[in-house]
Amino acid sequence: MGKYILRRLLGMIPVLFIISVLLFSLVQAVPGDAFTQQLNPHVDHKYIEEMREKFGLDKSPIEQYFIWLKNFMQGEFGISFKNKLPVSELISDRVGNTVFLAVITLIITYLLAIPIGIYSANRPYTLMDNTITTFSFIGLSLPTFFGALLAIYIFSFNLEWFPSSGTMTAGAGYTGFRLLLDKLHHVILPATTLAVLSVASYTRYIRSSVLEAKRQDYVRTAYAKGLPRKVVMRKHVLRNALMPLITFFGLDLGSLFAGAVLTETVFTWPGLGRLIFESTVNRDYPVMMACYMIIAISILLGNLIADILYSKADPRVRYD
Amino acid sequence: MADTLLEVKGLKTQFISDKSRIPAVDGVDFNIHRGETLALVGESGCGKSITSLSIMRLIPENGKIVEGKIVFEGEDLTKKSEEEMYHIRGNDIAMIFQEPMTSLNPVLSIGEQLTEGIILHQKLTKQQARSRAIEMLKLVGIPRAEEIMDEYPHQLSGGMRQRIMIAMAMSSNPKLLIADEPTTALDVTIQAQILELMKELKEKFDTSILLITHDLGVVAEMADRVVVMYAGQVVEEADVHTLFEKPAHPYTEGLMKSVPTLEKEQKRLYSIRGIVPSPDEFPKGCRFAPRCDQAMEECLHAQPDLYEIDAGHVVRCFLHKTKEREAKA
Repeated sequence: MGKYILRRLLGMIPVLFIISVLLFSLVQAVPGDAFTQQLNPHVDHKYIEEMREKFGLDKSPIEQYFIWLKNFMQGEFGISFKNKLPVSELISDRVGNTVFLAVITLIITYLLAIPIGIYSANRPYTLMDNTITTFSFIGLSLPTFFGALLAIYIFSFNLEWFPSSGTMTAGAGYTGFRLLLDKLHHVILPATTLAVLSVASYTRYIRSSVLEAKRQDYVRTAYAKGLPRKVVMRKHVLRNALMPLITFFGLDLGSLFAGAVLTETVFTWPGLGRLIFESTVNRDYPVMMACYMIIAISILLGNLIADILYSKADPRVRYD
Repeated sequence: MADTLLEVKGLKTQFISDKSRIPAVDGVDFNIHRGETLALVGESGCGKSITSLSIMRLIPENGKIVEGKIVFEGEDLTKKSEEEMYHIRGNDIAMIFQEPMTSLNPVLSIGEQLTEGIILHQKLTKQQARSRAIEMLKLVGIPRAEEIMDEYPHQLSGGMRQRIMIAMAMSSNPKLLIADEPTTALDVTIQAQILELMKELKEKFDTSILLITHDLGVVAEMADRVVVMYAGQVVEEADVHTLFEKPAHPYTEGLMKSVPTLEKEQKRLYSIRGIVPSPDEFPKGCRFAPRCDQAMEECLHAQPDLYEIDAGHVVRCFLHKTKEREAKA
């Protein structure tokens, strides 16, 4: 197992290298740079040229890439063009918020999707199942930003149940448990908006997975042994049906750090997603590159963790 | 032998959907005596598996027993609640299936799957159940029984898995074992071993067996009596010797002729023409008439009853209607 993990980790290096080349090319392909935007006619052209020189933008793209790569490998993510702050500082300020939002989203997703999916599978093609299916498709087809705006309009603006922005009440100076409650109060709306989307697809997936497991021969064997329905469901049906969720969980782990660009932007949630949005608008490529590389690494690691967990859950899957 | 363990009477099992009712089993009668092996024979789709699942009350969704009785030790199983069936399934009546490859849960260890039934029915502790399970594994001829307990189905061959299914079924000492095509998915040498094992266990535990098969070789090997089913109905019933010596129904004769033999030189293997009609389009008269070489005018219009042509030998065929009269006269 240790050998397998080491092999997988080593295998990530070339993958990450290719990803970084592609990302850098994409970033470079965008016309203009961080300073073209500053079209204030009062700013001296000479100053802009000086800044370009200072940040190395006057060098050729290939040269720029290798300078970036060398720094990146030394853990040096560079200085943001926009804020003139170290990128690592910007990211470490934001990453906690994003992970908090993502974890709450995951919890809401699983708490809703698993019971709904199983419920649907146990009563296929009934009125309730069809209703759930209909809502799933509505949830699936709703764009995030629209869902987010709708949620703000209904629950913040009209009902005034939840705040529409931020991670905590500014200036309230809460501490301890009160602070946690305040944070939860702020996170519920963006997290639920994000969760609704994934609940829709998870529900569909769990429903069909449970339906299929119920048809298996070994389930009939379990009934033939005289096991009560509940035991058969728990031990034989669900164990097999929910195993593929581990793969989804791995992908979700990867997206923990990716943030939700649109949702964070709409809810002015100071996380990585919004940082990506801002840095893209500003062509702030040290920030963009660092964020994208974090996403790439966390997705690769998420996949690896999923594979390891799968081998623990399914005796047919073994790595050595 | 006359002691009846199970009596199936006028059993009708149908699959009901919004648009249609499909009579998969359409009025089946037979009984099984204590210690007897009864073979239920017929082509695929004739309703023999659904008959056995009806006895277990494990008919797939949409299926329903609409008429008839299944009397097991004096009690009608069709009247039992689902909770009462939990005590009968796996305990009084056990079942093994055709596909040993898929009949075991791939993610649970063999030991786990063996002991869960034992703990349930015999009220044993985990430890006691484990030793009982190991004892059963040894009984069905599994080497390294202790180690196999902690292995998983994918590590075992088909023959081994079927032995485990048998161990599982026999572990609570059932009065009736339903074996639905237990050897069909196995290769020939393993088939013989499994049949031998079933015979041995039957003697040892004095279990009755309802053997469902389409393989007449298996019937000859195992059965005391035979019920031949066609299109959801019983078409012939006889003891095994009578059936092989003087098959009375044209369908049974056809089945016999379809078995390859070494004695006769045959260019082409005989097969009954046509296929089993699907339950939603049974012919109006005798259900076998469209495929029967001896069909008469009346066969196309009326359904024959079961005629007793000899003691314990009944046939659903107009050819034998006169014989019954003669026998009675």
